Amino acid sequence: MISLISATFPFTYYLEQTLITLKIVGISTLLSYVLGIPLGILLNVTDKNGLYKCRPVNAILGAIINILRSAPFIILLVTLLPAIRKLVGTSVGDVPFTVGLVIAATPFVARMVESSLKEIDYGVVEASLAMGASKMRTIFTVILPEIRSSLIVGATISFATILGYTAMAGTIGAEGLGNTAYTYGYISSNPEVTIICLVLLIVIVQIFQEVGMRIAKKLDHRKKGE
Amino acid sequence: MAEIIRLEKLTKIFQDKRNTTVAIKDIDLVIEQGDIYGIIGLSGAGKSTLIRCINLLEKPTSGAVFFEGTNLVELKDSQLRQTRQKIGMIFQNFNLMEQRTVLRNVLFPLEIAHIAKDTAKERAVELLNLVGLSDKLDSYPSQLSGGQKQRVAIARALANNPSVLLCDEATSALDPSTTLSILQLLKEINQKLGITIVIITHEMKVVETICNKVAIIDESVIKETGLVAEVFANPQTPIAKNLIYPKLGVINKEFGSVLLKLTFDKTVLEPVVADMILKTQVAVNIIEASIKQGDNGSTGEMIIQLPNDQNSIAKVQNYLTTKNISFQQSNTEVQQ
Ligand SMILES: Nc1ncnc2c1ncn2[C@@H]1O[C@H](COP(=O)(O)OP(=O)(O)OP(=O)(O)O)[C@@H](O)[C@H]1O
Ligand SMILES: [Mg+2]
Repeated sequence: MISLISATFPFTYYLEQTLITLKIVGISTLLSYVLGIPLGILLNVTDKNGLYKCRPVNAILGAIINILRSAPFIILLVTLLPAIRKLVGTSVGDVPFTVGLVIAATPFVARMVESSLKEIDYGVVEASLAMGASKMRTIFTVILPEIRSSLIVGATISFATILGYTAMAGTIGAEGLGNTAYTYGYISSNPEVTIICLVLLIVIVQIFQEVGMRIAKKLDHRKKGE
Repeated sequence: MAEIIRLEKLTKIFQDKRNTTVAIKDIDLVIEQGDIYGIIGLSGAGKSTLIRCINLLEKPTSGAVFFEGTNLVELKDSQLRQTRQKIGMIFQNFNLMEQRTVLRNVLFPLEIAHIAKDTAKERAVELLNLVGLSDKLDSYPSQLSGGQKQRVAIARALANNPSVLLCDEATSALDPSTTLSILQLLKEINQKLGITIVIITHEMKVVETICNKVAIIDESVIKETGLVAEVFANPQTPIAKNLIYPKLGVINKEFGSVLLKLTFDKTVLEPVVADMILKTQVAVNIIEASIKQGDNGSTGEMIIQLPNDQNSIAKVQNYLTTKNISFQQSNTEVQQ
């Protein structure tokens, strides 16, 4: 394995590509959550048993999210990229890809958040309202803290999904492990490069999933004993 | 006593595309300060809807809810939230926040009321003391028993010094002895803190144990109201009779028309009924009995039928009074 690595690229090269991948995925996940949490909440509260029941808003938002989620990621990205490049003004670097990733991942994250919100026991919401809490206070100081573990589990799943997106984006030029695997592994017929990238990507996902699950478990006081 | 809650023509209709359900209809009810008011009815009678309309968790379709003289239906949202701090509520499923410790659950209503941190903590600890959980401050609800959870819920409901405590089937998820301890706590709260209590239940036992007044609700309307002692002694409507003397079979009216319902609430060690029959020389007919043998005696209820003879009836009543056993009397005509 060591000799294989040195045969094509030095170890530091893979480290560098790994860090680039982590940076793009990290920023995209973060931004997708900044947008996805409010949208997920909006979906939940405007739904039929929601705190701010509003069918039109729910239907329109739901439709937009469904459309964006139905589009295969890579097709969505190549469709959006020219417009994003015009808007962002840079034709180089990770910025346009990151924007594309965020646009594709936000609807996914919004649905993840929405499904976590469904876990709340409505009795707890009612108790909060009965004590005189406003709906907003109830959302932010009761509902979100109560479902935090589920949100964290959702975030690790979103992270893995966005990592997958980033790797795909590598085939059309986004830097990182995906690009390395495609350009230097697949195109240049170096199967060992592809395999090393694959292993690294799997390891990253596993680490994040393990850490995410542990944090989620640690923060969850619902089960006895643990 | 001053009235604290007045419901006027309160009606709630649930409507969706397919169904229209009249959950409560033209409810008029007055609850006075200091009452422990039981509202009893069968499943689906409209009890939960009624109590949820009192603090407007459910918005009434029509009618008025006066709380301390103010019609809550007319209040703006912010005023309603203010008022809700004065109306505590506890639930069948406790509805505690599972990710907060016991202490932080009780702090929550104090956060809403913007009470300073130190004062709030003092108050919360004091309340948890009152409900007997001072050693559980840092536990999470999942580490508590049902009875303990309900105690936390009670402490939480009392945090902002409410004048009323609403209880929706607050003991229905608990076993009989835990139920009794929670009811005792509620009674204590009523007596010590002067808090008016409204209790929704489908169990006659709950009403018997702590309520001074009772309303019987059936098919969305209130059928009968009054002092518990009076309604129990002399139920007027079929549903009231049904609730008070449930599942009695055919009674031989030739034997006699007087029924006594004995309640053994204090633990009884002696064989009272046998002793009573021997001492009074009255042959009673045991219609129904549910007696539990505990570690220190028996508790429970028994319904006996007495012969049609004033002398015998008086003897039995006398015996029971001297033995300090509470009983209620009614007629077999009560059974339809
Ligand atoms: N949110 C709702 N939407 C539609 N119908 C409802 C709703 N809540 C209650 N109902 C209906 O109103 C009627 C009264 O219900 P309610 O929950 O008040 O009864 P209850 O006396 O509390 O019964 P239980 O003892 O089973 O709790 C029932 O027929 C019920 O189906
Ligand atoms: Mg109910």
